[in-house]
Amino acid sequence: MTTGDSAPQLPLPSVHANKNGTYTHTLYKLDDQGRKVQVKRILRIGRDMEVSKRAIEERKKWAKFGAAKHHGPGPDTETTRVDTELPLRLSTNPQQLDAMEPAAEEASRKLKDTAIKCRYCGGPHWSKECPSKDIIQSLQEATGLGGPGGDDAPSGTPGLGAGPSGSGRYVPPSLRDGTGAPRPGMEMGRRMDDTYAVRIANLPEDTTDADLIELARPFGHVVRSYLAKYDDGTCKGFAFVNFATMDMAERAIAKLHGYGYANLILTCEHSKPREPKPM
Amino acid sequence: MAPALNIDAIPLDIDLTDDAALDEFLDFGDIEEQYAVHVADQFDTILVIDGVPVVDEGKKEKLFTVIRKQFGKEGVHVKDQPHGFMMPMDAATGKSKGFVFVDFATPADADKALKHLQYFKFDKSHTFFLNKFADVEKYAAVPDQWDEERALGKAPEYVERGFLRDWLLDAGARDQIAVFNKTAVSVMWGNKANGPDVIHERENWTEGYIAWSPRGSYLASVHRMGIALWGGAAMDRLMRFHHPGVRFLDFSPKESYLVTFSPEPLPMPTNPAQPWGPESAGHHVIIWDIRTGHILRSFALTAEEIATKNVPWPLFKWSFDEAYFARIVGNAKLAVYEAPGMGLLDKKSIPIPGITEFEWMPYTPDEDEAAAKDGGKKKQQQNKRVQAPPYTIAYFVPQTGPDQPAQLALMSLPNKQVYRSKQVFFGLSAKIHFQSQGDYLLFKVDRTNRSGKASFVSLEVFRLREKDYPADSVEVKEIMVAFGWEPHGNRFAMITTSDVVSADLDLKAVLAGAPGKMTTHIYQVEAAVEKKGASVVPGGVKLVKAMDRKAVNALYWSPKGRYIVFAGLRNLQGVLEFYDVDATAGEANTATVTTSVNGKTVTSTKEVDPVQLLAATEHHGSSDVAWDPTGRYVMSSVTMWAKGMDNGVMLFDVRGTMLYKHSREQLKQALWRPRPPTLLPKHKQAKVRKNIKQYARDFEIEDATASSALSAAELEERRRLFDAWIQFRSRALLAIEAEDEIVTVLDN
Amino acid sequence: MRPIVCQGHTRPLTRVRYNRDGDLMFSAGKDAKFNVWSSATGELIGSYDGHTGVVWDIDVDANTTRTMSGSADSSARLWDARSGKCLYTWTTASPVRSVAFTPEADLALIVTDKKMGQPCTAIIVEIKDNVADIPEAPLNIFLPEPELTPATIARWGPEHTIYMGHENGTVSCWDAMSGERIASKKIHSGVVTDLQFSEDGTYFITSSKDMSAKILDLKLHVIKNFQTERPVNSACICPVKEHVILGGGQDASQVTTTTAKVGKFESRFYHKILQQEFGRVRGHFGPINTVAVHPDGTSFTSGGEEGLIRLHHFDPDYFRFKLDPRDP
Repeated sequence: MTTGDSAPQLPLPSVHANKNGTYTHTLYKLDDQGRKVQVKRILRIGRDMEVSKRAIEERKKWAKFGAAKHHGPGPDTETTRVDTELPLRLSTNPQQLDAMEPAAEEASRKLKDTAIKCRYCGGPHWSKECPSKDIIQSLQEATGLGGPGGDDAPSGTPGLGAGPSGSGRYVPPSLRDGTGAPRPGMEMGRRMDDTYAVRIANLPEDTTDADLIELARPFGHVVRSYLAKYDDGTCKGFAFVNFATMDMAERAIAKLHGYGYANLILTCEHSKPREPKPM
Repeated sequence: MAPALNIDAIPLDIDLTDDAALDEFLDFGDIEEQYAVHVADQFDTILVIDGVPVVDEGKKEKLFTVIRKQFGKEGVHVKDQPHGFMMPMDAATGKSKGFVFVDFATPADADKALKHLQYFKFDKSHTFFLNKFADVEKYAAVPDQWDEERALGKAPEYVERGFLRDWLLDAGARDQIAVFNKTAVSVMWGNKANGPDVIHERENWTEGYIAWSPRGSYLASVHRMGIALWGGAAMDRLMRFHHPGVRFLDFSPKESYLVTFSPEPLPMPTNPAQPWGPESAGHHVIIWDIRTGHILRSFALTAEEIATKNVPWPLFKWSFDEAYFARIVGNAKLAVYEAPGMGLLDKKSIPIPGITEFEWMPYTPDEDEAAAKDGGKKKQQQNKRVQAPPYTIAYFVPQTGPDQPAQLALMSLPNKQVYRSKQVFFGLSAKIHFQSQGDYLLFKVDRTNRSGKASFVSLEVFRLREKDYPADSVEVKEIMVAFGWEPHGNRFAMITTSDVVSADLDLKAVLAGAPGKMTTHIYQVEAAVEKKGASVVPGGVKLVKAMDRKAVNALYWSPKGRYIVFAGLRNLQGVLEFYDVDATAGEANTATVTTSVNGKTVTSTKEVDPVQLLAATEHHGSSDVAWDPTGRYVMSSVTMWAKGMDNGVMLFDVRGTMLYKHSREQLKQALWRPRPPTLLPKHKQAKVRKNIKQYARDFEIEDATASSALSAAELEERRRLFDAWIQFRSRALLAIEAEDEIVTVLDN
Repeated sequence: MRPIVCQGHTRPLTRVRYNRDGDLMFSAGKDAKFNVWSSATGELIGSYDGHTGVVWDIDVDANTTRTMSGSADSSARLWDARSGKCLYTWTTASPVRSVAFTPEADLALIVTDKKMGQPCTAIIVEIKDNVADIPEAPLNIFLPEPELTPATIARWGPEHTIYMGHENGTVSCWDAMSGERIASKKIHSGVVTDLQFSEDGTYFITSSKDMSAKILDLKLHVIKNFQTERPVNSACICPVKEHVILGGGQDASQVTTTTAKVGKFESRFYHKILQQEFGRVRGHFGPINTVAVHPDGTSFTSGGEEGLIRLHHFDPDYFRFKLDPRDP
């Protein structure tokens, strides 16, 4: 085993990180008398962990400022949400990474059927072991809503439009932070708090109310549907459908988003509260 | 042709009537040539007759006269004297040698004599043996030693065909897949993960398409001028079959025969490259012997088939052991042929007026239970199960008149006896489906009601393992999209759609229609059960499960049964749903469930659904789904006919977990290589199943080592990279000042 | 893994960075916003308001007392990290592309873009505890030669050297005090998009639109090469495991006919020594513009063109994964 630099048969050098932030750099060489020596060098590269810990504690006491000035403690739903379960796909074979996509969605689809389910995020682990437990708990406190942090792991569409209402439930405008402006096309009379709304867009002009219900019915019980129309009855291109349960809504989103309908590709997502969109 | 006349050469004073004088000037060359008698021909009138009584010189003439007279009676004329007879004499004895040369008047006489006067009984102790004089030369030249090569020509070199079943010896028991994409055909191993291993890949291996033989021994490629068969470890070309313009091919079940069809009629053979004889001119179908490559027989199509260009394929259906093959002729006859003789059974077709469909029953003889020495709990009363006769054909004759209902019949061969039949009123057409082992038979009959206005489908299910072959009928009011028996099982599955049936229905539109309109059904056929003391529980067809609002249009059972994939092909987004239809196998069908109702605990029994969804996944744009022959993997392919891009195959395991994806641009075909039936007897198979845990453990270890295996070169490279990095880091860190340094001297 | 999505920007992200202790994460975007977040929970702690143009680069000092930002509004600002108050503003003649504190935070580097008739300029300024003491005149100004093409990113190396990446793919090394060029080499065939040093400062990683990222030593020798099929906008070196993370992507190339159900843009993990890709995580709806890794290697952050920041805390699987048995 040649090292290239020095004479053969010297062991390889090594670098080892120590607990207090220093590194031990070990190398071997021949001294003037030709004897093999081991040289251990202590290097300070990393930070002092003790000092670091104290500083972190201090900063926890910082008051929020600037755009966060009026935020309460904990994450604010406007700015922070926990996304759906998304794997870091690891593989020893780079080719597999290309092909692994359906498997990932498959996995999240299967989460529905596993026995173990986290109360907060719906992932396949015990609630007490939930990695996002803290965040979701604080989110729940912030929004004042209880219950599971959204069954966001349905038939395979991670990251798809689970809007800023990160808990996943439909939050009526009156209960939301920020604006209380009515959402387009919603009658304020009927209480839709307990239902789950999806917004379908890119519908063809000649879509009728019946078509809309027909489209949505396979996924579950349609509590209410609203098709946006012009005065002459031509469809404006989008519609809202309220389902009885979140499962139904998620299924609808899974199947209809990207669905080819009369030569158009539909979009389908959770209906979001009105606010400036991040894109 | 008049002789050439040199007029100028003739002297003016010649007498023109004097032929002899004219002869001098006339050139008879061409005529002479034409009528020149070749030397050899001269002997064509001479025969040598042996067995002639030995006579001396004196009696010679008398003998000649007698012979001449007797031959004359037969109508054979000997030349007049003195050349008619020539009898050599033995100088020593003064007598003839017992044979005579006879010169006949004409060669025709000589031939006639040879034909009819051979072994002529001259008198009670003398029989004439006749031979052509010319032949004497020939026979004299026959060498004493039999020299085969000189006689038959050089024997062709023996070419080793290789072991046709070579691929079965793969250590990992992998199955092969043939892929035809762009212009190349590849044969590869289907692995468990990380993509297939390509073994052979050749450009322009085929001009048309490829097909495997039913037991996997051969890969056939279709070319303009015929079919080529490839096989063996190196996929060498084993045989070529010259059939110009061939389009379709079919193998017989045991791979002995190949049937080919070409829309071009065979021309008269003009050169040796065309292996058929003049009797095959105008025919469209040829049956070949695969091992020798010889034509066995060619067949003509009926005039109607040629006119309408409507040839059902495969044209001939084979019995399970290749003993017979048959086809329907003109909707009136069933022509059953024997192989390899290629002649009609009993030299005539079977008249069945109106016949439109027929199928051979698959047959596997029940194994002799006595041979099963191990696993000894065999019930002896099951020794002789009812089984339909081996060569059974099921056929269908539609309703022809108001008094002639449709007939479903089972006929056994070779006695042509119809041993079971059923009438179905207003049956117009049918499809015949046998279960893989021949245990059950289903006729899917399209019927109308009495007035003919409403159409529906009835399924007539025969149980062929019970006495008298009882039949049940199930009515289906929807349109059937797909159907399949469970191999080795007693279930069948079908897909129907509830779109309104109307006369103008365009089935294609329905099949490609909006999602969620198909219903899948799984039925079970149960045998009648005799319970001790109680009455017989009748058998029948029972619906196990129906699931509606599905977006699937095809179903694929695992070749071993129990697992099924429903697929939404082509327009239906490539949905794939994997089911286990026997999920409760070995366990009770009911489960006790404890729930609390209003604070009280209640136990109830719940029917556990034997049909369980294992996975619902998709392969976008899938156009074909195929199980491997062992039932371990499912391959879904997107061919270029279905979609322009994203062509390739995706492999799944039985539970629907995706294993890997393999892209192939312009994919045309992806086919699993079939396997021959296992040689393991049933009791040995049972033994393997019992010890499955043991085997599973060993395989797991093998898999673990395989997946982490890297070639020696790769491992070496990795080691080099790690070492080089360490060196680099170390050098770089030397530049940083150390807080502390400890130097220790090492002893050697 | 459940990424935390931080929505604090309405336009594409330009930079995300962790502070030295790792508890805070800073982000800057084309919407002129400069935000600070808790890296544990993703909650917004505050924002440094004042810039009126794209904030191209940000930095935080080793003690997390001050932060710095450079903007297309031709200014670089010094902020009080805790209160968000702007302490000092340097006005430049053209948009600022890079800013960086020295480890001692006594000096800072400001690099401006070649625009508005102005050449690309590197400015060394002094930082004092009392901002009143900050001299008006910079300590040093030098101009990288025009043939090197404008610098897109600049970072401090050891002992007051400066390493820059340029538009034509060159990487150069300078002595900050004298302004002399120590070395330069054409490393990439496309724009250098990011340059991040290792924890011990003995090597650094550069990313480029030429679809690769490379590790170079201090003498600009290429030690490692990571090849992809998409332009790479940012790359960082994991401090504990021998990994590097690349972020990039190109809008047009992500179009497929399959139903686009989720953000397809991915951060990609490569083994630093074996140069082999071993991991991917999706989620962004647009190309990833910037990536940064926590100093303890327990999380990483990516900022995308769609304006979203995704904060990922690694699962135990990630730490257990070994591409090779020799992996630490």
